Amino acid sequence: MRKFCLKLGAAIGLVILAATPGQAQFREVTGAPARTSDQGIGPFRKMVIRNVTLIDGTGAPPRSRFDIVIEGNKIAAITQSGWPGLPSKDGRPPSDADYELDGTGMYVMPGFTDMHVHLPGPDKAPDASYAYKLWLAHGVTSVRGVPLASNAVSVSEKARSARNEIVAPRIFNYQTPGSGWSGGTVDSVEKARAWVQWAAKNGVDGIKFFNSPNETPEVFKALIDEAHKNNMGTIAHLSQLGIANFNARQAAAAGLDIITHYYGHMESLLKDRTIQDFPPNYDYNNEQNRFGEVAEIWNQVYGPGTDQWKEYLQDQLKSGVEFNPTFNIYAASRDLMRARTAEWHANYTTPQMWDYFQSSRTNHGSYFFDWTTENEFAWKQFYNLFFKVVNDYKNMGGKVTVGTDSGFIFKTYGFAYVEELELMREAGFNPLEIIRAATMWGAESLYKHKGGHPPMGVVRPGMLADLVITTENPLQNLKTLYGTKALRLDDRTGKLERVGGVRYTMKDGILYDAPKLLAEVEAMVKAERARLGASAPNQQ
Amino acid sequence: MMMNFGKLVCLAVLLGSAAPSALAAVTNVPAPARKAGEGAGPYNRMVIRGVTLIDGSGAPPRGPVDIVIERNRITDIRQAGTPALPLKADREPREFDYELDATGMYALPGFIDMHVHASGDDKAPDMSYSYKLWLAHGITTVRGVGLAPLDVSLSEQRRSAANEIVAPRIFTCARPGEGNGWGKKPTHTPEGMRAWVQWAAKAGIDCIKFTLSPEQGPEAYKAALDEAKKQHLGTVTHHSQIGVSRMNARQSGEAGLGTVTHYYGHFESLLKNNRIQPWSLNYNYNDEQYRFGEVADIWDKIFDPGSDEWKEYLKFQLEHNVTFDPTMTIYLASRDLMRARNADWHDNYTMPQLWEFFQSSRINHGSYFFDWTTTHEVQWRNFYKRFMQLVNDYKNMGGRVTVGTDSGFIFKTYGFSYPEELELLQEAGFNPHEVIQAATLNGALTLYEPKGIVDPPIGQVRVGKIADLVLVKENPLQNFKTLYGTGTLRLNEKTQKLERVGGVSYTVKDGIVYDAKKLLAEVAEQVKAEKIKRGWPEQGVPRN
Repeated sequence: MRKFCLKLGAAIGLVILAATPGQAQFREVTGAPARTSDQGIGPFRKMVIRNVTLIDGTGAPPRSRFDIVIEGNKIAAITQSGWPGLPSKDGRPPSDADYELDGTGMYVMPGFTDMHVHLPGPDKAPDASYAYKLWLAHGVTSVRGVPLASNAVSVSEKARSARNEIVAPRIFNYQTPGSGWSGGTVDSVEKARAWVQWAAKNGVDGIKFFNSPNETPEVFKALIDEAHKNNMGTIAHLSQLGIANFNARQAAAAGLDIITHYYGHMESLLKDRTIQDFPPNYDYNNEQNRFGEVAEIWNQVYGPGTDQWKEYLQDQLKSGVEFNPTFNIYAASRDLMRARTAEWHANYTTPQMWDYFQSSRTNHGSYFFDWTTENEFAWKQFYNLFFKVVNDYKNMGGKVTVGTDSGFIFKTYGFAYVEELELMREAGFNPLEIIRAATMWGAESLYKHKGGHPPMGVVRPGMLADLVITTENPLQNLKTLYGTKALRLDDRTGKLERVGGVRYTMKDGILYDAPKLLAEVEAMVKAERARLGASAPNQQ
Repeated sequence: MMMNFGKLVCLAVLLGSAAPSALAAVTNVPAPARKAGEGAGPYNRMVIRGVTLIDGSGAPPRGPVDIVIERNRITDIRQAGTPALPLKADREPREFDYELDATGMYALPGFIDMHVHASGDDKAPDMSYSYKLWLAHGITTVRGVGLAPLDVSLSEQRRSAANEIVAPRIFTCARPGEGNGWGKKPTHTPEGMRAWVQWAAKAGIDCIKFTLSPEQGPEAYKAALDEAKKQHLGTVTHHSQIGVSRMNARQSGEAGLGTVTHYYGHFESLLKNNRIQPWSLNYNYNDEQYRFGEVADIWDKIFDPGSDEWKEYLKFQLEHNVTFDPTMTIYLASRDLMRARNADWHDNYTMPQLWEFFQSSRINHGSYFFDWTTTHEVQWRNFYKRFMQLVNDYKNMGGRVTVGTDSGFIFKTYGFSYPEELELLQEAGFNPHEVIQAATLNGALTLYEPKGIVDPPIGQVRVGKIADLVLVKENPLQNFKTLYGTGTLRLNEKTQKLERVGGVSYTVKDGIVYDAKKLLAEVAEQVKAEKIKRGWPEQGVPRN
């Protein structure tokens, strides 16, 4: 979401103002309040989670039953506790744990990683805890902010989270070129290298690109090169403004690590043209044009199975670029009514964010001025193509990760993560492939330039104790991961009931009760509605 | 829809055959008589002024025109001016007893819904609930498959033809063996079946609806198709899984079937490595999550789109003049349950008893979401893609595709499902012009062909045709969402606020002008009254 990020960019003193309409007001994100003593328990000298089914994140099939021993913030041991179909024996070691959690019947996975997030500004929520809690409540224990907030706030929140002073996932701080420093716009190769060197010393883990007018291919390449020299990662939203001269194939060839969203793929596959056919009255700053027309590329490209299609993916595989599709953030485009009426808005979407979502010429990403069957048709076609490109890439050996970009276009933090998993299922990933993308592959992505193996992303002795614990088998139904849970008929009562939801999220050895986090968010939403005199969202 | 629903509406009462006892109590209460003030006209001469005409034939829109209607017939269509220039005042004709200024509106033929059941008393107080929602969405003709038990259907058909009730035109399909006068004589033999068809033709039915029920084997079914032709009756089959392994859609086409409704039977004609779909081994047809979960699993067991077998199948159906009536809307919740549950229209237009019927239950048919998972929805999405391609390919080869809804089940509220079906045809690849043709002319051809009438009196806006019309403010081709009774959201550039625009303005049936918004308001009032009766909040529906 390019402009959204420009807003943040400007908030942090960036001078990409050339492309930024004057109406946007930039206000800084408010950090989360300090963690109180009743928020989360642990870490413990030694704790045990007893008798669970393990889905370890590597792609290995589920196996039961196991006791997971955690010492401090690390997994110390995983020992078999019994056999499927038989009761587990009592009195299993260790007997000296400070805390025991009976996980009989539960499933344990590595904490989820969200590769594409922004925090809500004051126009969306009172403070950052709104997003943090929704992420944790959905099992997300690591996020890549692209950016999370300004560099100053991001660095501070990252450190506070690392010290567990706030209730928040681990934070990885990606910033846009030029953000945070006083050296002005990054518009030359020299400035590019200078800013990266500055950023490396100032808490930045990686660079987020937008293909903005200042990011010429030369500047782009210099930024990537310098980033890698400084052990930083790179991720790009290849916006339409720069795409004609720097598409996904060119960016990957230049060493880019991650392509986020869909931009750039189809532009690398154009057939009978080298720039997408835009209608003559197209205006990038008219967001119904911008977002309506992106989908129209679907029938201007070499399609699945063609030599050009395969060759594109082979080139990307050779470059080693990762795809981070963030399917969910544009999903309202193919079915607006679904997004508007999603069941979580009633209790979990703040009134100010609900207002923000309403179509308007100034709220970015609220582009449904007159959204037609024809628009949705084009987007459905586009999604089918985009699904195919991502799934084919995975099948060829390419890396695909899970990202959400919530806070725009009717997407509420946390809930969007589960939706993204569902969309990957729709794209053709099987559930184990999805969990691997959400965990091990995400961790690998975050640590790619940090040297050594990632310390998380797999449930294995020696790894950090970041875990998702559920009462339902997520492989059977990903919907059980929604905070609003999944509907199931209870055959004893003949009534529908809601089952699932994440039961516990463990981050860094601290155990959070996920339903309690959700209840706190619900209370926050209620309080905001009372404060602003707003009623529950009118989803009509 | 599904065969058990049919039983529920018709057979449970009449035959009491396989229907569980819980279903037997459903009856269909006829609509109350039309009162003064319900609809205006017909008039000796009425002029509808200044519209853009989308005539149903597939011709591009043209306008502005004035449409002259005398009683229930279109007698003249006159050019009223030139686009972009002001209309001339006081245009001819000047003799009329009613003038409808529809300047700027679009006129289309009344829509035809080829697959309906009217609301039984388990869903609404009486059948007017479904009638009004249909008319409010521009539907002026329905094919009941069945509308209600046969005797009720025929009586409602006559009352509607005489405009004694506020209702679309009704075409009546009967199920084999149906009808009080038939006396439950057996129809499981070819001879018995032929005798029933002859009896039913005399009783006044228009068509026969088959579900390939266990009672009727292929021999009796084929005899019925043959006898139906002789009696000038249409035929439509829902190829239920019970009978499809012996009679798939191709075999039906070969035997002379008129319409394949729903999706059943097509892919069973295209199975690649099996003759019977490889159901899971603990499948039980009467456990509806199996029934409806696993139908979608056929999507990757068939010859691929574009394969020789795929093309050959469609060519075969084309040669046999088979009509496809896909009714994509009725199973749509299977690919996205949350969307269907939360659809905009439930709050004000879904009867509380209908809402309760929709809730998943082992007894309410079509309420099969006992534990509906991401994988179920993904299988259904994959299924839909292929089904859509099949339907679109058939259209492109010259095959006839019609619009049917089957509302009243699976979160589908009468009337609102119709624009949804139009949207789904567009998603399948039909352009909006093709969609309208499917909704109007194609339906009319299918209804009248068996009668030996090749130029049907409805389905087109043309001189000499019956005055069944839809008048809308918004251009439906630009956005079919404007046809929903709830309209579509659009940003008002002056106020910078979202507002709802669209909805049908007027529906003209048989020369009688109905104010569609008024019909909707009446339904909303009726829904509210039913909620109060049950102690529900007046607003919204309870959601788990």
